[in-house]
Amino acid sequence: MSAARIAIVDDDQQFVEYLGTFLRSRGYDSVAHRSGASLLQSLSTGAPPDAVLLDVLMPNPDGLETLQSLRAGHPDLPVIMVSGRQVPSTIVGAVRLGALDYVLKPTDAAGVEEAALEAAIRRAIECIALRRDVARLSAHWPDDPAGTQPWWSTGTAMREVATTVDRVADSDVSVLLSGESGVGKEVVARELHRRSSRRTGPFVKVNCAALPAELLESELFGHELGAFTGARTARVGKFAFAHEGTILLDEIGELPLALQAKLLHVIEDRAFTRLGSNDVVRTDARVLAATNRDLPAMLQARQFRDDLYYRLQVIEIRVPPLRQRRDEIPALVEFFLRRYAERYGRRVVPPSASLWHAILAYSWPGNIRELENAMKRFVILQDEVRLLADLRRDAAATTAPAAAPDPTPPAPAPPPDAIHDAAAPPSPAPPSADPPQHLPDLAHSAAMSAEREAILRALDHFRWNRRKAARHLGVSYKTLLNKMKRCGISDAQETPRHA
Amino acid sequence: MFDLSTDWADTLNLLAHELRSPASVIGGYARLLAQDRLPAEDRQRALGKIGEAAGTVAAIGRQAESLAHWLTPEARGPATPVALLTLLDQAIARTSSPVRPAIDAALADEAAIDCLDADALAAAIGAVIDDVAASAPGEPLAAVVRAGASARLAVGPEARLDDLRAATPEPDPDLLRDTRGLRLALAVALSVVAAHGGLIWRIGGPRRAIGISLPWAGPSRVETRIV
Repeated sequence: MSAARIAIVDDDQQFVEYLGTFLRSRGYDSVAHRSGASLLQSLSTGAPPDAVLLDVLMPNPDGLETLQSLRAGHPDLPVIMVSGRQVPSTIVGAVRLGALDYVLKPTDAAGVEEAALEAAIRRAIECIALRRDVARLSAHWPDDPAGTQPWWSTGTAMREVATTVDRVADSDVSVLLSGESGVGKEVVARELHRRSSRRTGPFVKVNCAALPAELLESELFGHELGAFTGARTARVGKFAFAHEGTILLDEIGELPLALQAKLLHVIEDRAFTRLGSNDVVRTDARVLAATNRDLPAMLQARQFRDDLYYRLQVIEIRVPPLRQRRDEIPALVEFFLRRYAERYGRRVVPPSASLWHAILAYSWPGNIRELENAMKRFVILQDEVRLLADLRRDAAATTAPAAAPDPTPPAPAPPPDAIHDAAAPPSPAPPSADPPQHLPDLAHSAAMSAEREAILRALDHFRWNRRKAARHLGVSYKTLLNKMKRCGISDAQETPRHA
Repeated sequence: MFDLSTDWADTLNLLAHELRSPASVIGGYARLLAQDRLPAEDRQRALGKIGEAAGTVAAIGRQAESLAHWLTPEARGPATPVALLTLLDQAIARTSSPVRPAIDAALADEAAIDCLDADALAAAIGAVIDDVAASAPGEPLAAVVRAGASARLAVGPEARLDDLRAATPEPDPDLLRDTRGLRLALAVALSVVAAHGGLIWRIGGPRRAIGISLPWAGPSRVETRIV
């Protein structure tokens, strides 16, 4: 195990040299900074030390100002204030800003103050070791105390995904996660991180569709003070935050071409520059990307760089839609009912047999997100009749189980320990709506299904901004509202993202 | 403004703080040597460092003595007029920083300051120049002399020449706090200038720049003409 590295920040050269010698004699490595600005600069471009010994009385910025700036980017870095004076207001200020300890520069002949300094350093090192242990243990602990995430099914559709995750999790290769919206691509990404050697590092997610290009560049790579109009403070980018961890670039298909070039450079060289700076920042972040777009088609249309595509797609994991993983539905229903009952303080109402029928028969074009939303609504409203009606109406609108070409396996019965024995669903579940028999009906139904799918995708893509979605779909805002109503799409279907 | 006669506790705190670092260095190396914690090649170096720190303690002692002297009006001798430009030349000669003086006033020959101790006043101006130089390492500095009701000397990076010319006194209680390791030297300078009836002040704006105001040796003896 390598020696802990301590940063010394003091404007007194003689004291800095002595402290370096003292730390070496105790088995620590040290790095010296003559000012707070020097420390902050080094943190923005390199790996942080294990602890910081920070002088209080320094020229601009002084110790407290340095501590405050440091907290913004490195909230967990242990800082020990080392001063020649004990001013109560300064000590209180330091503690409020999160200093781990406040010690005097040792002068007593007996060496008591030196022992106090040594003990403070030891505590800081133990503190950071404990934090790392907690992160490591947390990575092994299921996210939900009620059980592991239920979509890790043993069903055939997800078995291939699980196998690939097993094989590639503990490597550094880039992984491209593809699949429809709401299938759980982010869950797969988190599982890759959780099972990797980077599990104690950060998992950082960036939604490439959520910000305009100029802000996205700053979000990813950070910027210097005054790099552009409105850049009133320097900012550490997500790639810097993800150092020694994993970064998930969600909706990578929405990344502007100019940024695609910069991202390719980062992946290849593991280095980048912040906006407004020429300094090269090193990063050791594993890159995962997720998309619901057809990237090969985007390559053809020159909307996505082929070199970046092939760099990201070292391993591609296609997460199948829920309609191909129907065997997971009972476990997912149980999981979401329990999760939201706990979150909203409601009792778990077991679905009746007819509701189970409807749930298992429905095609769930919005995938797990749509199912989660339906269960959340059910828990909050506790209105089975309404959910049943919604599902039957949607099923009639989509006709997906009959029309979709997916090799849908018959839905199994829910697990034996399902929520309510008396409410166990019948197995296998038949579709609740008969497919249309007449060609005009069939065409109308298929058109509505396609419209519904397109509207949901557009809404999802624009984060349920209906005006933008309407513009994207080439219809008026009013037409979109009418179509949403006809297709049974309501605001309530907007949920936290799965992928 | 830093007033030693009314803020003695702060002065003592300052002295204690300045002494603490070299004392810590001396005691620390001594303990490392006594505990036999240092490899052979570092032992000699540690002895050298103890010597350097002892030198720092001695310098602080001299500065403390100087502070005590300037706090005691009875100890001061009679005032003698010394030409302002002569003082400036002496001050610049004491510093290692490249300073380019810009004289914005035509001074009569007798444009002088009543000096209790010309050497101490030149040292005080030198300390101010060193302080400004420490916050702009390697940069050429400008010193602007202006004549008015009092003699005004402004020191700062050459890039701030216009600011130095337009500077007006702006007392700043944090003047000592923001200095780069020269707190005690600057405290002595403050006391020397204060004993001469003048003051040291901060020039607002980015980058450190400092002004010194000193009263003329007597209105009847000075003719100034702003150019």
